[in-house]
Amino acid sequence: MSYFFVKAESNKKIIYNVAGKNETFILNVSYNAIVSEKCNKNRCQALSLLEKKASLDCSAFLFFNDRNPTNVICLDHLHANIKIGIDERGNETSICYFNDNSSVIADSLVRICK
Amino acid sequence: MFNSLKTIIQTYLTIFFKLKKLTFKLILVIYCVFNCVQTHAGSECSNTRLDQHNGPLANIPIYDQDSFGSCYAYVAAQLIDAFRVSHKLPNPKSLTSPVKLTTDTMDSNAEQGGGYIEKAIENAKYYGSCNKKVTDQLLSKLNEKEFYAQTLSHYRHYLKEQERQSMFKKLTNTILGNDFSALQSIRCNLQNTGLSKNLLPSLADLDKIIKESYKWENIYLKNLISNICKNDTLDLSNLPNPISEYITHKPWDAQERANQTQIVLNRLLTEKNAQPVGITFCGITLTNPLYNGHPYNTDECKRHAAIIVGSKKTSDGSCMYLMRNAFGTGCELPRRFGLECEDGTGQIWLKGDRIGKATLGLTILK
Repeated sequence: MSYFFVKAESNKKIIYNVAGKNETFILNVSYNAIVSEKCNKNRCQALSLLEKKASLDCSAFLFFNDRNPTNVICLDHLHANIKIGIDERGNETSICYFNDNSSVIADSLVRICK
Repeated sequence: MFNSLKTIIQTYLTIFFKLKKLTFKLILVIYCVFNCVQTHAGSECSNTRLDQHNGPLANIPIYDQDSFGSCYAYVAAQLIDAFRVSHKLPNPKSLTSPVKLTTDTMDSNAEQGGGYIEKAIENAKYYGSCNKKVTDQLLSKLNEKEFYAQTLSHYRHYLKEQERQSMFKKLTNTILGNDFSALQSIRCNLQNTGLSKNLLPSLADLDKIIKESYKWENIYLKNLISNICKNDTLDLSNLPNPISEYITHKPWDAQERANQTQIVLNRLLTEKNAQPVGITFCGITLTNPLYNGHPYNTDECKRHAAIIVGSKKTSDGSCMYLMRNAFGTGCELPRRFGLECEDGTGQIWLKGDRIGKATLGLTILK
C-alpha cells in the first residue's frame, strides 16, 4: 500500500496522532491553512499569526540543511512549541503549538517571512 | 563504480596506445565497446517512481527530522528499510530509528548534528537497528533537540554532583550516600517524556551508562538510547556495505559533474531491484536557482542529505528527479522557492542539471 496523503478538502477533518493522542485539524479555507479544530469556530493565536504576512526576516535560516526552517520560525521566533503529528498513513509533519493551545501545520509559517 | 563513459573511454585509450600486439588491441576494442554499451545502457532518463505501487519506498512514510541536524541519519534509515523490504529481510514493519542511527554515529567529541550517510549505515550494521516506535515514544512529549538538551543537562548535573561529593569526602573523610537522588532525577526526566516503564533503564543501568561515558556526552546519549532499545533491536549485520562516491576530490567542472551525476542516477533508478539513492549535496541549490555548484566545500554550500526516489522526462527532453527530504509533508516552503512540490508528500522535483551541479556524493545499498 503506498503512502499517499489524503488531500485536505475544505472543512474536511484531518486526524493527526500527536504524542499518542488523536487530535483533529481542519483546513481553514479563508487562510488556506490546516489548523486545530478550535480555530475554526473561534479566534486563535494560530490564525492571528497567519495574518501577519511577510513580517519576519528569515534570510539567516531559511534554507535546507540542518534544521527544518519552519520549525526554527516556530521555536526561535514565535517562542511556541513543535510537536510531530502523524497522519493515518504514518507520514510525519511538524505542528506549531501556541500558548492558547491552538496550532497550525508548521509549513504554513513560511508565509510570515519577508 | 560510478565512472562516466568519458572516463572509461579515456582509460581504454591510454591502455590501447601502450599495447604493441594487434591481437591484444583488437581484444581491447571489443571489450571497450562491450563495457561502454553496458555503462551507457540505462543511462537515459525514464519515468520511474520507487515510492509507489510495489516500490521499495512505497510503505515507508514521509519523515520530519524536526529541528535536529540529522538529515543523514533519516536518509540512512530509509535506505536501510527500503532494502529490507525489497529483499524480504525479517520484520519489515519494524522501521529503523533515525534517532538511534544519530546517537550511534555521533563522534565521541563532536556536536550533535552533521554526519555521513554511509557511516550511519555501517554503524547500523554493527550496532543493530531499533524500532522507530520506541524512540518515537521517547520523544513524544519533547522534540529531539529539547530531549537531548534536557538529558544532557541532567547528565552534567550528575557529574557535578559526583565531583562535589568527591571533594566533600576529601575534606571531611565522611562517607556519603550514593548518587541515588541524581540518578532518580534523570530517570524521572525520561519518564516525563512518555517513555513506558518497561523501557526505562534501571538505576543500576543508568549508573553504568554514566560511568562508561564519563565526560563524553555523546557516548552517554548513545549508551542511553542503546539501553532503551535493547529489547527491540534488529540484527542488521547481513546488510550489504553501503556504496558511496564522493567527487569533491576531482577537478572541478560543474557541467561535467551534472552530466556524470545524471548518468549514474538514471542507471541506478532503472536497474533490476532498483533502490532509492542517498544524495549528499549543497542545500543552497534548493533556495537559489542560480547556484552553479561553486563553492562546494564551504559553509555557503549548506551541506544536506536527502533521497532520490524517482525521475521523469520533461517535454524539452531534460530529466527531473524526485527528492524526498525529512521535512514533513508540507509544500509551502518548497513552493516559496519556486520548486515543484508534490501535495501530500512534500517531495520535490528538481531539474537534473540543478541537482547534478550541487551533488557532492551518492550512496546506495545493493
